[in-house]
Amino acid sequence: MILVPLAALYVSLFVGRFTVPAADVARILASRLWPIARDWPASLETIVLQIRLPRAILAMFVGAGLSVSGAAFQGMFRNPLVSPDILGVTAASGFGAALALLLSRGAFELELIAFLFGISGVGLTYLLARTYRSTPMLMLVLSGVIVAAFFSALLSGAKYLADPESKLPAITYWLLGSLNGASMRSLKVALPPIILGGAGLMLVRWRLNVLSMGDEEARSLGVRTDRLKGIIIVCTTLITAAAVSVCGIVGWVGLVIPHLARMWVGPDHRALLPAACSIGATYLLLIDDVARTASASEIPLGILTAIVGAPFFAYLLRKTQGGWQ
Amino acid sequence: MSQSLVEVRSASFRYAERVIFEALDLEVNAGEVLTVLGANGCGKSTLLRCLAGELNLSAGSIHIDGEALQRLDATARARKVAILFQEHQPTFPFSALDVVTMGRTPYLSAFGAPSAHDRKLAEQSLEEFGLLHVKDRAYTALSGGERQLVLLCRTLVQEPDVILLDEPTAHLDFKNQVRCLELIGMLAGRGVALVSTSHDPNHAFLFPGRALLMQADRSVLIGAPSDIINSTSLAATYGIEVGVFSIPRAPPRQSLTFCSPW
Repeated sequence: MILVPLAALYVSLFVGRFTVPAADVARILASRLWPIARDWPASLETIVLQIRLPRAILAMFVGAGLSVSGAAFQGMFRNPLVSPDILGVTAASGFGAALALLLSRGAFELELIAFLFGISGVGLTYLLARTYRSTPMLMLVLSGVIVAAFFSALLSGAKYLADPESKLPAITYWLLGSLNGASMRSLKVALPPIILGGAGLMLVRWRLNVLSMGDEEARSLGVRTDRLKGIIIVCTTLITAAAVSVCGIVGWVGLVIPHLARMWVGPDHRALLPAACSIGATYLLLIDDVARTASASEIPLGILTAIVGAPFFAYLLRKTQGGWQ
Repeated sequence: MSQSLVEVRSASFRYAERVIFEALDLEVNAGEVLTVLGANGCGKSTLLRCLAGELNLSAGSIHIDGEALQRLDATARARKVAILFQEHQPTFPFSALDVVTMGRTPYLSAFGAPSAHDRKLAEQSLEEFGLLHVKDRAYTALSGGERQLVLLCRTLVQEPDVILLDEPTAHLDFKNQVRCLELIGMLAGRGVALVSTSHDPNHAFLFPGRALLMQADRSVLIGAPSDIINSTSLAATYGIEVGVFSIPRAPPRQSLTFCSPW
């Protein structure tokens, strides 16, 4: 479960438009830990350590984060068709990013604004869904639809106002999703929320099993369902908002990977969440390798994940006949 | 301190203006099964949900084992009261053993997971119910009857003082109805207090304990089944004519009482 993503990471460091010999990758990595004579060109080291390593690490964390969020939400909503953006986080983050691009902000500010918009979007959904003393699932889903629609409209408005020569392409390209901008700095922005949210979900993974039996059942077994739902929503939102803010909208990962993980280890979230992390990290890393090597110019990530994810999901749907057993 | 595990004092519940029950006094002792009878929609499930703490009374109080129900937090409550809801449709194919193990949740810390000991308890209770053969099967693939028995197992590992059952025999075939009733009797034999709603007045005669009739005029009759279940009270509850008959049986068994339309 840990070895496969690490192997994929190693492979990702030497494939690319500029091929670095596998042995050199090993020695460059080792040179950070032990003193080794540097007989490789400095440019090689820059490619591996400054460009490919941060990008690969970001791909792994985003892939793992989106997958574990999707798995947690599918359990919480008791619905295997739910993805992490159901509460409107993606639409809100997307609008935040478009706003930042419109105002010609730098990369760091863009990530921050997109992240904050994502969090506020979900906050708005939660407030809308909150009734007298509980948060029913149906209210959450419907509020999510409303908030997502609202921010999508604002996003269209931002695109309409954007300068069609320079800013509109920038917004459009950003929304398609890419890890092109990955750097040590974006790692510092995205990793803490992803790790924090992921750790939170891992802590409640047994209770997620109980919650997936239904609210009333879970309450009768001593689970404070509203508090648990709150924890899950906060964690997944931290992860998804961080992911979207550094690499745009990468669809399908959070929807499809949990199914693969469930086929592999079964529905018990104690095993399912780690499995989703492992598969998600590997999957997005390999997809990103394709994105940056398949053609002369980079292919946006969101296009690839959908091109691979949609047919695969169709295959799953046919195979299971919609029964999800 | 009272000996009753469940003690309800002048309890009322209303949905908006609609009164479900009023000034209800009730106690259920260890080893007793209280059978709650009434027409569809009369509020049997509502009463059960009040006893589970899912719904709050409009007035009055409920004490479980001497402690006020509202003062218990979710975990403490789940250690005292287990409830079996009417059949529900689960989404994910957990194994039957996992489902039973979920009954241990009130004994785990907030971020904890069940230990080997918890799994062993779950396995033991499946074995005791003669269900060990389904332990690795997907709960979603079990028949309605097996599912109900697995959930009964779960209430057992929850180690509660009080078990609430919402029409436990609904949707079960005859064999599983009988098994389910046997298990309820067995639980009562262990000193648990049970409250069970039922559509079948005959169930009240099967267990040690009293019956509660929620009549159409919102009045409530509580007493020994042989005292309160008769053609008059059944007419007042269901609005139909039925007879109540009794046949003597050889000692040590007591005579068997049953209701029948003719």
